[in-house]
Amino acid sequence: MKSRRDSRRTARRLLRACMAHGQLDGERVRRTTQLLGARKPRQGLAVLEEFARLVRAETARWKLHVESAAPLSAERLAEITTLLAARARGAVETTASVNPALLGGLRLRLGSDVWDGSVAQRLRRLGSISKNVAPISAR
Amino acid sequence: MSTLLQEIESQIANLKTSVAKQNVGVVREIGDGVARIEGLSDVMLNEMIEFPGGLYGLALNLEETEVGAIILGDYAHVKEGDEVKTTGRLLQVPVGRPLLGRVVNALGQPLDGKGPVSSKDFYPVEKIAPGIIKRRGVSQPVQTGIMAIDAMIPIGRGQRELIIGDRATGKTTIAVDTIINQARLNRAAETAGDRDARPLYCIYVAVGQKNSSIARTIGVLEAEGAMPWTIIIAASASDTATNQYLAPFAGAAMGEWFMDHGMDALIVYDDLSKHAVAYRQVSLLLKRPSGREAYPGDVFYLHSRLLERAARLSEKAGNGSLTALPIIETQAGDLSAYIPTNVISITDGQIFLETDLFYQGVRPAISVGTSVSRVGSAAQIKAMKQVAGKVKLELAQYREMAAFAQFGSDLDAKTRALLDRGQRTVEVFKQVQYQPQPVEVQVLVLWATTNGYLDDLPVEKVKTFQNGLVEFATTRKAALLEQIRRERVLTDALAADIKACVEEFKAGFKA
Repeated sequence: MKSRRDSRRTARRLLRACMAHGQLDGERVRRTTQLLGARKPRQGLAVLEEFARLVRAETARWKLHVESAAPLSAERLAEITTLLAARARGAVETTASVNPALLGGLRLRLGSDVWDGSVAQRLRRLGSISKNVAPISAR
Repeated sequence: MSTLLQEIESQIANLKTSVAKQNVGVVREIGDGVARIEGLSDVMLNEMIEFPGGLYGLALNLEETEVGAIILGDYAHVKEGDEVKTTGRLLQVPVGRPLLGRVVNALGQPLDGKGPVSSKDFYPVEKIAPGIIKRRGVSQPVQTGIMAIDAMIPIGRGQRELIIGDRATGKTTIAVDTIINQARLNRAAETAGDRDARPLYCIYVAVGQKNSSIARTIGVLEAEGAMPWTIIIAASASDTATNQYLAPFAGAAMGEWFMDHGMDALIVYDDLSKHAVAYRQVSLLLKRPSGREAYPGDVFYLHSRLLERAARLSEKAGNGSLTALPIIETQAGDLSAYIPTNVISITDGQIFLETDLFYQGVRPAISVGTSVSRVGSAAQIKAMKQVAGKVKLELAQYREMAAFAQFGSDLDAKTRALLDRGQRTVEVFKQVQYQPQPVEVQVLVLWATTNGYLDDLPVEKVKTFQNGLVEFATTRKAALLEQIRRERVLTDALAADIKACVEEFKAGFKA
């Protein structure tokens, strides 16, 4: 149990060392991984596994996924990326996909925040509201 | 009509906000009703989270990159990679009068097939207990109808009195008797149109019990007509550990509604040993560090925060109360085990039931020496204090002495008298289950006992005498019983009337 706690602590310290201006520095992460592989410290594997998990979680925070009902132009995608990067105060890595189930509008996901401006979402909300409003005869 | 229009307009305004912001996470691990979720960076502790398919969970563990949550419902279709959303709401249960007479689960959903619960009020399951300023001392009695308890270990409204004992020693029976007695008192007050009477509403929380046991308890309460004042929350052994963990808190929330609205309520947690086991299971699945007997470190806090919610509120805070009767099952009478010692230290006294006494035929099998009520005597009515003041001490002395008396036959007169009186008092306190006694009857019987009217009777005839006296008083001296109930104190004149009644009965009693 103690060794697991130690490896977690070491991994967290390594992650902090890999940060530059509040974001992960890819070069530092690469060098850290190489060093861990080459030097093989005590519980190196556990540290590396924990480090990978933390890097994955940290990277996910800066991943922007744009879903749209129809394909978006490169300019529109760049515009969205710039807007959200300014909001997040850091560089974001953007991916895009087409989801016809949205019917219209966009669904953006940055880290664990989701902004849903799709037609499907508005219809769902409308559905839930109409379910909650009691019929006039029942009032 | 104007409110209707306002409602529609507000809904339109809501819809005009085209973008909905949500905080989401992804299920990484799921099993045994517990999920580990990555993401959910904005989730609050104890916040409800939404799984696909309208299933809800409760965030219990907030870690650096993960959230541990318990799932409330059927988790069979939740899978790794599912998206989970925060809701910004705490777990709530329906509360209020519509729940009376109903059997519900830990989330307040009906289990009795009597249709939906039409409650409009909701209370959070986890709520901070009333503070010092809002509270006042315990001063009103909870009449259990069990003579041994009302005389020796009295319970007051707002008190937390633990019922503890081995399996099959009559713990649930004491709780059920108390509920039945409240129903009788409530019904009597309603019939008499007594406006000063304060009905005591009852909540019975069954945790980890067999469905057959719960059904039997419900059957007894229905047969005795106690259901109109009772709510039953069932989290049986076949329910998930999460539901078993939540049930007492849901019950406390329902009880708090009565307390907050200036009413009195009684809640029975049957039992907290199984509740601790359910919480241990949840904690181990959430990978929380385990401590003694593998229980998590906060198992004391779990029960203390639950039982602290029982209180008697001041006049300013509405004068309501919530009385708690937690039940703990011991193993081979071991009071020093982890959970029993925890709950003993939290509560305001305990009623300890002994297996030996139970099998000797002393039922309720209350061990007088180890049972205590720390605050309830302040709530005892004066007449009861007058007749039962020394009974507990005498009975405890009798139990001690009886053990020694087995080894020798030569006893001095004083010891002999103590043993004789003790034997008769034990007989008097024997009581059939589901037959609670009104307080005025208890006072009459105890007066006869403490004043030596039973001393010359053979021990085996004591019960016959007692039953006869009760019948005689109820049928022929109803006015006297009514006077005891109304005056609540034994004046010289009233004592003389009681004496006359007992002597009149005894004169005609053939042993």
